[in-house]
Amino acid sequence: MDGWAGKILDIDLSSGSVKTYPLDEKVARLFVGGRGLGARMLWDEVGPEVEPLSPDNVLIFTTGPLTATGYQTSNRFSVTTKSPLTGTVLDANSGGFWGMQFKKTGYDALIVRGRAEKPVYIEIKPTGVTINDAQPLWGKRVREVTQALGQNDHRRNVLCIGPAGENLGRMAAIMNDGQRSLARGGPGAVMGSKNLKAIVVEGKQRPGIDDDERFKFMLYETRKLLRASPLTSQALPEFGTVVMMNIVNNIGALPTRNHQQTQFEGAEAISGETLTEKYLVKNASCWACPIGCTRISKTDKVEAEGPEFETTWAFGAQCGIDDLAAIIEANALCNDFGLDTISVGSTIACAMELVEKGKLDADLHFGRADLLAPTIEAIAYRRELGSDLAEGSLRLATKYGLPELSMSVKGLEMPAYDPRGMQGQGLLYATSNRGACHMRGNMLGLEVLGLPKLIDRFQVQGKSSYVILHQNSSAAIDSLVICKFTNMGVADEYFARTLTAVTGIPYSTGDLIKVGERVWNIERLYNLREGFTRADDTLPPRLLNEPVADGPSKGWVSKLEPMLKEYYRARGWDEQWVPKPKKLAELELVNLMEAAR
Amino acid sequence: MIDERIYEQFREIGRDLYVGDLISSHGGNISIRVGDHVIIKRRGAQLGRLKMHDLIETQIDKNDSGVALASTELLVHRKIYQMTPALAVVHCHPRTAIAFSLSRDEIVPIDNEASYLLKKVPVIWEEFASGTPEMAKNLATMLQSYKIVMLRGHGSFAIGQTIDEAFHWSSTLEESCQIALAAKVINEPFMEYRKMSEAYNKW
Amino acid sequence: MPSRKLFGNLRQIAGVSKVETQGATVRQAIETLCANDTALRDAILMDDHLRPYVRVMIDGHDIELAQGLVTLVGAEDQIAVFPPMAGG
Repeated sequence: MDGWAGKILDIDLSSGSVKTYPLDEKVARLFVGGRGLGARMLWDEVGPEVEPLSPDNVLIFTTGPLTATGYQTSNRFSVTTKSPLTGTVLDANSGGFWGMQFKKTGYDALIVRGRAEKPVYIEIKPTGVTINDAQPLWGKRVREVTQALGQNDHRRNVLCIGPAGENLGRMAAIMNDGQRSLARGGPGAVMGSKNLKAIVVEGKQRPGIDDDERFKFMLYETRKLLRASPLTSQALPEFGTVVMMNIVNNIGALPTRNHQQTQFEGAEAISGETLTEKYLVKNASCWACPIGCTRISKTDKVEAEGPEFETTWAFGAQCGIDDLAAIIEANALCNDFGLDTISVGSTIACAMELVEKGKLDADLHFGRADLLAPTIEAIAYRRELGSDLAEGSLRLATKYGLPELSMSVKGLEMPAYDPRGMQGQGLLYATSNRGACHMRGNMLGLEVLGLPKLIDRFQVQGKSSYVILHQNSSAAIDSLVICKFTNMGVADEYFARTLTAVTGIPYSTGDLIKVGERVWNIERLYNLREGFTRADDTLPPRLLNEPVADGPSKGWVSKLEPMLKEYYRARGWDEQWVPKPKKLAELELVNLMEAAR
Repeated sequence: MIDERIYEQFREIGRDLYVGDLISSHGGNISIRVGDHVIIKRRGAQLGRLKMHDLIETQIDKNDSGVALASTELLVHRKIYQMTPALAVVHCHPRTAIAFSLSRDEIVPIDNEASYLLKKVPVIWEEFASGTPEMAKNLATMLQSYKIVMLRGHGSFAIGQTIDEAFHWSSTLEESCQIALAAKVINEPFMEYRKMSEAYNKW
Repeated sequence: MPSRKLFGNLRQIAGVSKVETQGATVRQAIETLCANDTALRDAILMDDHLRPYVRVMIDGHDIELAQGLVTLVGAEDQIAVFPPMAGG
């Protein structure tokens, strides 16, 4: 089995036991790695009786067969757990260097279970695995911890939580290599609940490659395509992701002030153009990435990675704030405390609207940039109102009597596209297994950028087909694991052929997409077993009932119901969104369904 | 009801296929996947002159009232949607590519554009032009790995996310074959300009 | 007079972010704008077509879903031109 390391590392923090066992070959073939492998392992490990923040929940860190091979963007890895924010299956993935380094320790996956008595950190080195005392590090922020544990991009890499994870905040991220994050859904709280501060990796083993010659050819062709595409060779490196601000605002799909409007008058001030002109210091890139979309920006107070588009929107338009320096600082703070910027920004916006509506008495108001930093700190340390905010927008809004003001799906805050102005994106959010997410089949390419071809963003008929294809393709890419931005210049058929060259197992393009479909379905089965129902595939009432007041999306609500109907049928699920036996047989998931009943 | 914007895509690409000499007056076909349905040209309708009522909607897995009206190639299109991630299928009769398909088991482009986009186009053989279940299955199997496949002496089947994309592969193949034909006529030694091009044969 | 907004690197090339322009169609508006600026024209058009991934919108609506470059422009319309961009 080339590509895969062939081994899983299993650490129980309650007993201190460290075990190794082989990766099942059939599981590897069917689920590949990353998100897929994580979902398959979580299925066996964590049932509906397990509370997300109890010792019985697990953290599963996975890489894939392409990880560390040197294939473009083969730096990524994934964490899978039951989410303390949503209660759904959760996986979050991240780039940087840690994933590559972990794979080089000779494992495909690390499963961490139990709870240590006192704060510890795990160290995985060629000489062995140790569980070490982390009491001096407890309470410390991400940058300091990362440095203290000897981060060295190419040789020794640190993954850790900050104060937010220690304090079990439901929006807590796990951070790697200092400023990269596994952010969504609160995996940092799971790590905090285990008294696990950090995982440090040093590796020397290179993954095997089945067909070296074909692999080199795929490397060459991929490089050529990434260079030829103006998206991956110019757009991303020149302006980073935040260049989306103006275009999404221009079409009237930029959620503003907790989705009360869809255009923000201050968009220009927080755009990629402004960031580049005023605050950009330089670009950076993850391991083995020729694209380099990372920004390093600098204000009077901080110099830090980012901010990305979603972050800039969450603290910007969503909070009615047009002060880019304050947003850069808010982003840096979140990274240092270990917090998910999308959820934090949108939860603050939710609180601001609760105040506006007279439901909450607090000094939180749309447009007030000065409130960001203190509020973020209060969330990280759960101080006063911060303790309510740390629970995420849905629990917050429910507590203060207006749950409909939480702009979330299944409790996960929505990213920066208003479903009323992008109908397909709304279907994507509603059906996404980990809650509202743009990384699970983004419709941005088809509905806005014309990639590969512009499809009317208000069209409803046929949207399910696009959403399903992109959900499956995203799940496959997340299982390899590589970066979705490569997909802007390189089609799935290249990934399938690269996977074949690396593993020696023939995967057609169709097979690869089928892997993604299998992953999507096992995640759906997991949520089903947890008690989620069709009613959870929905959007906040505002998006279904309140037409956009003006701008290019004027008059539109999300026409979710007809899209959902088409979607379920096309997925091969019944009206209660249970996958039909024929579909499960096709995906080799029959046994799992029986267990789910 | 078929969305007008979907009809518009059919109309534009249908006309382009005819005007671009990729089909004869009544030849070729286009379809798209809409959920668990397929929208396909009506039997006997001309692709170059499609009207809204020339489009038929029917199910991918089951027969319904639409089937009788749909093109005879519905079987093949359905099989492709069942077996591949395709959201659109373009079937046309690219003349030079058909000529090459008569003497080759695969077409490996020599021009830059098609090398870049297609790498290699397999040719498969069918006994009955209108398509048998076995042929449909063979073709769909090939389309799991390749975005365009030639049927020997008949024409091409291309898949994509959109009709536009499948049309792109179709016209790229024909252009490439015309270039290859011109190179044959010139008949001078080929100077390889593409690095690692020997790997295209194994694509 | 219709106004035009430029984004991304088009802004750097043109040296401005907003201009007034003339022309009854999008094509005329672009040609007028680029009359003295071949670099800007090259960044927007290739031969006589829009470059791949360049997006042109009138009041937030993409011209590809209207009549493309021959889409009519009204006096009050705002045209936005976006270079190839990606993100999310």
